[in-house]
Amino acid sequence: MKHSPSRPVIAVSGLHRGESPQSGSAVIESLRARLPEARYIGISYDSLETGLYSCDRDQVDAAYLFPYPVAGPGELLTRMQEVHEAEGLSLIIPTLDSELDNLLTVQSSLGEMGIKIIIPSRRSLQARAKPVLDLLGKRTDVPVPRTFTANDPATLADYAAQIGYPCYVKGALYDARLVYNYAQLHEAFTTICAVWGPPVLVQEAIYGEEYVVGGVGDGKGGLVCQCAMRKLLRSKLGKAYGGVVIEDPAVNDIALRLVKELKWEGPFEIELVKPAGGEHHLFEINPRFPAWISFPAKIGCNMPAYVAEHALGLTTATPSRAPVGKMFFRHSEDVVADIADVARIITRGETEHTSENALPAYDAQEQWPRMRASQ
Amino acid sequence: MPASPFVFFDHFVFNRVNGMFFSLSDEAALILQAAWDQQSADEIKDMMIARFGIDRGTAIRDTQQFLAKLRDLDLLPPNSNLSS
Repeated sequence: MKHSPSRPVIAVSGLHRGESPQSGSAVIESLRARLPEARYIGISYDSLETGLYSCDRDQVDAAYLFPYPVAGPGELLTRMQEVHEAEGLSLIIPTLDSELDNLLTVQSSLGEMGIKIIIPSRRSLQARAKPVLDLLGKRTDVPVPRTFTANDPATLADYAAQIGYPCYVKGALYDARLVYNYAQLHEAFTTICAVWGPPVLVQEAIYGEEYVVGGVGDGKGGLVCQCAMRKLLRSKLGKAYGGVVIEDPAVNDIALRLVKELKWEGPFEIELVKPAGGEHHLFEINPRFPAWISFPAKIGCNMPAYVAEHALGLTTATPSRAPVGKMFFRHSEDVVADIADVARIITRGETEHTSENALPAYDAQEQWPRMRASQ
Repeated sequence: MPASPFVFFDHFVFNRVNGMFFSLSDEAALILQAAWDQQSADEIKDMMIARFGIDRGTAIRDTQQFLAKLRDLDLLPPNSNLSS
C-alpha cells in the first residue's frame, strides 16, 4: 500500500494521446498541477498507449495492463483487486466510454475496498446513449440530428435512404464515418461492427460550426462548472485540435437543460453543431472528460482537480470560468522511450517510472550534440 | 439592446459569443462598432465623413452596402433596423 491521507493514489485510464486522443493523460496533467503529492496510476489496455512513456507532467508513476472491457466485470474486479493490493487505490477516474458498464457493475465492490470512483449513474448514462439521444432532445427541447439504429446493413441502408446521403454511420460507443453511398455505408457498417459490435447507427449529417462544452454535474441537476468552446481545428476524425473559449448564452442554456434532465454526476462533454442561421443541434454527450480538458485547467478552470478533491473529501473551490478568447492548439510531440519499457509492460503487465527508467531532460539535450558530432 | 459580442483589435474582430473572428478595414470596424453603440444610420454616415474625409454620396453608398452585408451575415444587433 502506497497511499496515505496526504498522498492519495489516483488511477486514470485512457492514456493514448495519438491521432484519436483519449483524455487520461490530460486528466493526470491537470490533477498533478493541483495535487503534485498524489501518486498517479495508469489503467492501460494496450502496451503502446503513448501516455505510458511520457516523462512530462502527464506521466504515470506506475501503470498496469488490464483485460479489455469485453472480458466483463469479473475480470476487471480481479485485476483491480491485484492493483489495489499493490498500490492502495484511493480514487479511479475512468475516461473511456467502453469501461463504464463494467465499472458500474463493480462500483459497490470497489466501494467496499475503500476505492472511490468518478462515474455517472447507470440511468444517466443510458439516457444520453446515442440510440436514444433523440428522446433526450425532445425532453429538453434541443434539436438532435435524425438517428436510426440497425443490426444489419440492409436495414441501415433503408434508414439512410430516408435520411438521405451523405450521412454518418456510427458505433454505439465509438467511431463515426461520413458515407456518401450504399457501398461506403456497407463498408462502414462492417468495420464498425467488427470492432465495436452491433448495433450500428445512421445519423443525419448536419453541417455547421462545431461547439463543445466540457463540464461537471453535481448529480442533482446542477452544473458545477463548464467551459464552452468553438472548435477551430479538427483532425480527419473530427477531434478538436484547436479551440477558442466562448460565452454563448444559448450554449450555456443547452448545457444547463441537459445536465438538469440527466441529473448528471461528474464529468461530461457535450458536442453541438450549428448550421448557418439555424439552431444548435446536439451531436452527442460523452460521459467523461474531453481530451482537451488540460486546456481550461491551465487557465483557471481545473475541473479534474475539482472532481478529485471533492471525491477525496479534500477542501476544494469551484473552478473559475475559463476566460473568453483563450485558445488552445494541440501540438504533437515525439516521446522518447526504450524497447525495455515496452518489454516491461508486456511481460510483467505493469511498469513503474523510476529515476532509472526515465530519461532525464538533460540527458536528452546532451545526446543530440553527441550524436551529431559522431556522424 | 444587448451588449456588443465583439472584441475589437487592430483590423481584427472576435465574436465572444460564437467564437467567430475575421479581419476588417478601418471603415468596416467603425461601422460595426457604431452599429452596436446604437448609432443611427445617419450618425454612422456622418462619422464616416468626419473620420475618413469622404464625400456624402460615397459615405451613404458605402455605409448602406456594408450594413446590408452585416445584416446578411447576422452581425447586426437583434431587432436593428439599420440596414432596412
